[in-house]
Amino acid sequence: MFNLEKCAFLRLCVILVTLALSTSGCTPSPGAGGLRVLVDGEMWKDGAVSQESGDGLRVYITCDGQPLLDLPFGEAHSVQIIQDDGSENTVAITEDAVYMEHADCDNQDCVHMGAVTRENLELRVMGGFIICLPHKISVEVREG
Amino acid sequence: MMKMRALALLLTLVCALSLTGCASAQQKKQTAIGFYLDTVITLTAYVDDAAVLNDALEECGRYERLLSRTVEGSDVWRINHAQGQPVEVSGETVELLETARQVSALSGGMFDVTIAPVSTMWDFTSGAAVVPDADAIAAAAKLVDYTKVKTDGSLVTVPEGMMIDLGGIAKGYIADAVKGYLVGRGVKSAVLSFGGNIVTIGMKPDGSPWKVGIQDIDKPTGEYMLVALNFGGSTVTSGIYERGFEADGVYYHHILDPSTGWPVQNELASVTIFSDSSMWGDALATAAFSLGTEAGAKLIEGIDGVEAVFIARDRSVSVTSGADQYLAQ
Repeated sequence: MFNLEKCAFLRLCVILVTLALSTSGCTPSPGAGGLRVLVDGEMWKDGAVSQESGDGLRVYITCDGQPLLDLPFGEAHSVQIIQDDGSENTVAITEDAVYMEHADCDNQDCVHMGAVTRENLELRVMGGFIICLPHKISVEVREG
Repeated sequence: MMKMRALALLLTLVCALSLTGCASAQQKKQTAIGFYLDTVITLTAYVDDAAVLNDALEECGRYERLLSRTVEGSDVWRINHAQGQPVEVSGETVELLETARQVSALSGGMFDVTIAPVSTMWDFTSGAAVVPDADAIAAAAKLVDYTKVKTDGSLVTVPEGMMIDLGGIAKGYIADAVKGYLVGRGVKSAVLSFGGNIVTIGMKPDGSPWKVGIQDIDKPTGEYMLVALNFGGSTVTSGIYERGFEADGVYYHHILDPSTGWPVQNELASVTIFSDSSMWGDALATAAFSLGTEAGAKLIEGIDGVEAVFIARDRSVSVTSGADQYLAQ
């Protein structure tokens, strides 16, 4: 589909994520490179959080293109992602917003991207995305 | 910065059709994300094949290698390291310099690509919050003068000691170029985000215009004061809240006055420009901001097909005569 060698030459990390339209959601890859995902301080187990969603909006979180988890938008949770190199991101999901609460990356762009809400989903320059490029974390709010 | 430059992430999300919004479209909404010119670039289009968006991101990379001040061997890098000697550059660079010169002339020098000696003394991104030495700023400001940039065909000459930085216009240029590239590849509906520059192709699949939030100057990122409509053109916002730092109770923002080297001090908090060309929109946003509401509006009124919204620090909003069509009621 695209030339990986060429991209490597460009020093670009290319990730292709295909997210199926499914209510079952993505599951974290247990033990992959020591990656740890904590939801509300507990190690993430698929299904531990309600899969129901009031208006169909969901929060999809990926790391390096790998789907980590998706949660209903509108249900308050704190998602902590700790990678094997020790890098950390904390995504806050509140009843009406999703934002990068904390990241120990060097540019803090993701923290400054602000919150995604129902109201601003169509108006934000990046749509439903919050991206931490240094840590390759992507957060997207969209219809599930 | 160099670290970030080396790091670029391309992310393609192939989203299945959702139940709302794009239900009528046959094509899938796809997004590709990259990092060029210190900016997160988001390309979202309704296309069959995500490859077209990844190709478009490669175009961004090609332009970065041509126009970045810090990428060794770029046209701009070679001009700045030529020690006053003529440098052979690409047609793209010549075109950018020519447009920049026109905007400089129209704005009485309030937009100036030779700002680099001054702008490189400021660091608005790392959070270091260091105010440069006033004497050094004054000395550097003396090296800012767009009239000294000479072009002769594809040869560009900048006097020794002077430097150019296309940061205030290159993102718009690349946005236009990427749009042209995607149109050439058959894309009919897309929204492309290059930092403060939003460029769209066509309308949304349901036939309605794209909507772009204009940031509330006093609220956290993502809370909007106005909603702009985009009908397949360019929307560029330049605001003091985008980049800056506070030191000793003073807020220093990133829009620098070429004549003094210090952040522009006037009543404005942001300017939004509506135009077909994002290159012009980019440069005019900076120029109109630096001129202030009155002179800025006069500048914009004098240019066909360009409109502007001025938001002052006291939250008052002024618009040019034809800007209403670009604002949602």
